[in-house]
Amino acid sequence: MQVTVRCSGQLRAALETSSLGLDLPAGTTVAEAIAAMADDHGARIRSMLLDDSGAVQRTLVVAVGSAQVTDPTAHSLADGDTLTVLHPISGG
Amino acid sequence: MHPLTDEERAVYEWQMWSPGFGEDGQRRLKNASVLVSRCGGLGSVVAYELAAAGVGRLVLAHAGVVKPSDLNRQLLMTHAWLGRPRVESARRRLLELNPRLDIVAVQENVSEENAAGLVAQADLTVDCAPLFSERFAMNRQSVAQAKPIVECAMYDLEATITTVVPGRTPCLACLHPSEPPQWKREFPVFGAVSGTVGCMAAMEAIKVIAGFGDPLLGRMAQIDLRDMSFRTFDLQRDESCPVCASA
Ligand SMILES: [Zn+2]
Repeated sequence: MQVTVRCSGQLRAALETSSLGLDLPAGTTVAEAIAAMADDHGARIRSMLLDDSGAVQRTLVVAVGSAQVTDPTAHSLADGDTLTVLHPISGG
Repeated sequence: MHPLTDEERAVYEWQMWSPGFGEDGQRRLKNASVLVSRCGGLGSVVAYELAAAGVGRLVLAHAGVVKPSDLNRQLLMTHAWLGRPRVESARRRLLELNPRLDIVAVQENVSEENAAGLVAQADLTVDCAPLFSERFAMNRQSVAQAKPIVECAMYDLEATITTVVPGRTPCLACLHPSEPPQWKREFPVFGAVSGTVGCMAAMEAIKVIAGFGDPLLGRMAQIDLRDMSFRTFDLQRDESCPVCASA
């Protein structure tokens, strides 16, 4: 299935794009999709997405469509979903 | 509640035409006190718009002196004030616009030590701090004192904004339970971006104080001025939030 990932903040700057497509097996969870994205990139982006245990960083705000997902391991994605990964920002 | 004077009716006439706001909303603004911290690119514009709208009292917290690198965005700072305290430049500029304004100018940034006292002086806080440690201190005190706080932030051409009403919405710690490790105080910023989100945050504060419109309660707006996209996300409270779960 095809999922679009939208990224913001310093994550977007590090990726040099605001949006990328992932081709994932049906039933992939949000956590697995983010881990797959980390696997496609280097250590810097990995550390922005995952903590030392490999879990999704708790400081990220993650949403599927317009709804925040608070447990990425429990939410399965569907074909055509847009997954948004908001990297925390604090600029004033 | 203090009534409006004839002079105030004349100044605020055009905004009192706004449906749902009216003279009652204006009276609420006049009798309200708002904490703005800090008064940089974002907070300068928040304070300026709240002063223009007729909020009665502003508590401004911002340390340091005006530097050349402030002047691309910190619109309450002026070239002539380089090297002098930022918060005094802010006070001077705000009183030029609105001499009726009551200003409490605090030459400090928010910290764990002063957050309780600063939040206590206002009915609502607009959080414009560049460091998460300052934001967490204001969020904790806003939840403890059951006062709303508008959380607005920017980075490069992006911005986010949400309004926290303790007990009803997620708080900042629900969204970010610990300090994001990658965030640094220095970040790319155009004044037009911080000014855009500053205007939006001021409007959130006005809506919450006057009790009209639909503030971003339990919702986060994400604005990207690079492609002019505007999205809102429905947020969830964290039932185990260390700040608001037991409040
Ligand atoms: Zn919370």
